Amino acid sequence: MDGFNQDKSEIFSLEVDDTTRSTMLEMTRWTKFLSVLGFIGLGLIVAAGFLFAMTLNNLSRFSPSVSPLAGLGGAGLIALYTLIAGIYFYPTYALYKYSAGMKYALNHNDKARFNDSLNYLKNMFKYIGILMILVLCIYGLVIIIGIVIAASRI
Amino acid sequence: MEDKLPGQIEIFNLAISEQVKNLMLSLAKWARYLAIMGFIFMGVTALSISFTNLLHEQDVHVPAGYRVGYWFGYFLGASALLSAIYFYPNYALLRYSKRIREAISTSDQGQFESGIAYLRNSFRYMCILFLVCLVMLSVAIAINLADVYRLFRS
Repeated sequence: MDGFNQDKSEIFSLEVDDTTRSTMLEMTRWTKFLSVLGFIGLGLIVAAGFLFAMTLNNLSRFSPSVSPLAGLGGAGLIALYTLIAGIYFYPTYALYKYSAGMKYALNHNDKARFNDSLNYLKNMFKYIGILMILVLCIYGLVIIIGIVIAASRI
Repeated sequence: MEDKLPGQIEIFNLAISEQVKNLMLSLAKWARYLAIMGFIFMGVTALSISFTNLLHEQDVHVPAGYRVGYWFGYFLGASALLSAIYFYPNYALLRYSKRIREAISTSDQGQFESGIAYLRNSFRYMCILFLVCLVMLSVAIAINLADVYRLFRS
């Protein structure tokens, strides 16, 4: 009885009860949908790269320096968009693994899968956080360059 | 499989162990960091839009005395638009982080459920936003395809 009471106090600390379970199941549906949209988006980004490369090649026939990216060339543009898609692949994949794993864990009370899924979500947040820092640094550089150019025109 | 006492089946759902608590705390910290980065991102994007407009100021033919007001109005407009779109998911992530940290420190089931609900809402919002962006990207690609087709035909 004492053992049961001790277990009860540990168990009544925090648990995934019915309300939390249904909220988390709903969340896995949204995260799975978001990850599928993410994969579609990645495919569209690569497709857009090919399309813009084709457009650039055709436009450069009429005007050699049609845009600042003309020097990059079609192959360069495709490589750039493929790189962007590659950078965004991991968070999309991690979100998908989280949603698939969490759905299984909640339906089968599997603690190991529950932990693994949370790990995937944590890694996704970490990856996006680091990516945002990098993008913000690039933004900062662009703003500084913009200020310098604007100041030179005054 | 643990032996379940009569009427106690629901208690032996997924209990939040120490490992999961640490994972959740880590998740909450990264979520808070992401939310703050998101708010900074909104401000920096509004600034960069305004600076880009500043660089092309001479194209807009704004009278000299109105330039500062024009630029400030542009910055406010861009901030308002970005805030309207991106405010809620960052806010929801921040609330999730706060609720989960409070829940884990006080073992409060209500705060835990509330925190998970905020995370679900944040993903739901991002999902809908991403879907809208995907539709717009698809339309842009379709228009580009039509242009490329016309270029090839001419």
